[in-house]
Amino acid sequence: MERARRGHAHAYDEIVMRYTELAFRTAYLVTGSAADAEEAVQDAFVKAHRALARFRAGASFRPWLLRIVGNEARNRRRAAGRRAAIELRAARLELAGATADPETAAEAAADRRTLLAALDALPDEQRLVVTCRYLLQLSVEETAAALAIPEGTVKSRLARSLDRLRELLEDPRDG
Amino acid sequence: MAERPVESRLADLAGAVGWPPAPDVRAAVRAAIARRRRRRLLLLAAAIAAVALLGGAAAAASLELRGAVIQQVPSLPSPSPATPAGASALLDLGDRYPTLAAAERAAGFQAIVPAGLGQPDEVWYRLSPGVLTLVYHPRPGLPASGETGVGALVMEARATVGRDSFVKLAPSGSAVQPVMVNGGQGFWISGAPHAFFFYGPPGSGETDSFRLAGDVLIWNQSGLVVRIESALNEAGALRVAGTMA
Repeated sequence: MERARRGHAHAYDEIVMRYTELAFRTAYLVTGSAADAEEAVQDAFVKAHRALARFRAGASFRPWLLRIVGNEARNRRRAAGRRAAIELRAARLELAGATADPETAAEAAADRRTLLAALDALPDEQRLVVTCRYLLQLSVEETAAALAIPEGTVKSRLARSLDRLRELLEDPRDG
Repeated sequence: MAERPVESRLADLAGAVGWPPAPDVRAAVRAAIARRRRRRLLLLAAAIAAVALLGGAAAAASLELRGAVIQQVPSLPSPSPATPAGASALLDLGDRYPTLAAAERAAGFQAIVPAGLGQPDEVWYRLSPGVLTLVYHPRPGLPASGETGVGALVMEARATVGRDSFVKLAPSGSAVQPVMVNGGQGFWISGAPHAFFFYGPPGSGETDSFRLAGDVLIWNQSGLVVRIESALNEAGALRVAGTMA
C-alpha cells in the first residue's frame, strides 16, 4: 500500500487485482448491471489512484476504496434511472448443496431461491444494507462507506430490514 | 429449513450465490492513469512557460548552477503529482549499459564514482539530454527512497553554460539550502517532494519525464553537474559526495 501511495505503478496494479472482485460485487449490488459495475469500478480505481496521496498510512483501505466505488456506482445508477435488481443467478444454488443427499440439497436450493426472492422484494435501501452485510460480508464500517450512510444508520436499518425479511419469508404474498 | 434464523439462512446464501464474473480492469486503469499523467505534463510545461515569462518576479526565484536550474515556485502545477514508477527501469534513465566504461564511452565523459557507495549496481545513460546515472540498490545504511524505490541515484551531466540538463521545481514546502560540495557550488533540496525532469535537446524547449523527486544534493564539480537523490539526510548525502572528490 505504501509503495502504491508513493506512486509505484506495479504496486498499484496489485491493489487493483486484489480488490477488483470486492469492488465489482459492491458496484453490482448498487447498479444491478454488470456493465455499469465494470465502468464504476474502473473509474473508482482511477480516482482512488489520484487520491492515494491523501490516504492516511495505517488507515483501513477497504472502507476508503468502497466509499469511492459506492459513489461511482450510485452516479451510474442515477444516470440510468433504473431500479437495481439483484440478479444473482440461481445456477450455483444447487451446487453448494451437492455433497448432501439429493433431497436435502433440493430443499436447500429451494430455500435459497425463496430467500433471494424475498431479498428482491425489499425496498432498495433495505436490500442494499442486507446484501452488503450478509452476501458481501462487509463490516458495518465498510457498509456505511459503500452506501454513504452513518454506521448507526447501517445498524438500525439492518435490524428493520431483517424484520421485514422475516415477515416476507413467513408470508411471501405479504408486501 | 424455514424455521432457521434469517441471519443463518443469509450466511448460507452468501456461499452459494452466483455473482457475475469480475472483469480484469488493470489495463484500462493503467491506460486512464497514463492519459491523465500526459495531460498533467502538458499543464506543467505550460506552467513553466508562464514562470519563464514572469522572469524575476517575486513569485519565482531561480538558483543557478551550471547545467541545472532550480526554480522556486509557490506550488507545483498539480497538487500531488504521483511518481510514475519505482524501479530503475521505469525511471526513464535511458539505456542500461553492462559496464561503467561502456556508459562513459557513450557519454563521452568520465563519471565520478562515489567511493563511499562503491561500484554502482546499474549504469544508465540517457542520450537526450546526456545524463549518466549510477543506480545503487537499497542495502543496510542506504534505504530505498520513497520516490524512486532505489537506494541512491547519482546522475551526472556535462555542465555546459547555457544548456541545462536538469530542471527542478521546488514548491514552497521544500527547502533549498546553498552548500559547498568539494569546492563547488551546490544546493541541498529537501522537505516536500519537488518536481524533477530532464530538459529536452538544446533549443527545443522540450521537457519530459516529469516525476517527483525526494531529497537531493546537487552541485558542480570537474565540469559536471552532479545530483544525488536518496533517502539519506543532508549529512549523509554530503558524506557520500565527499567521497567523490
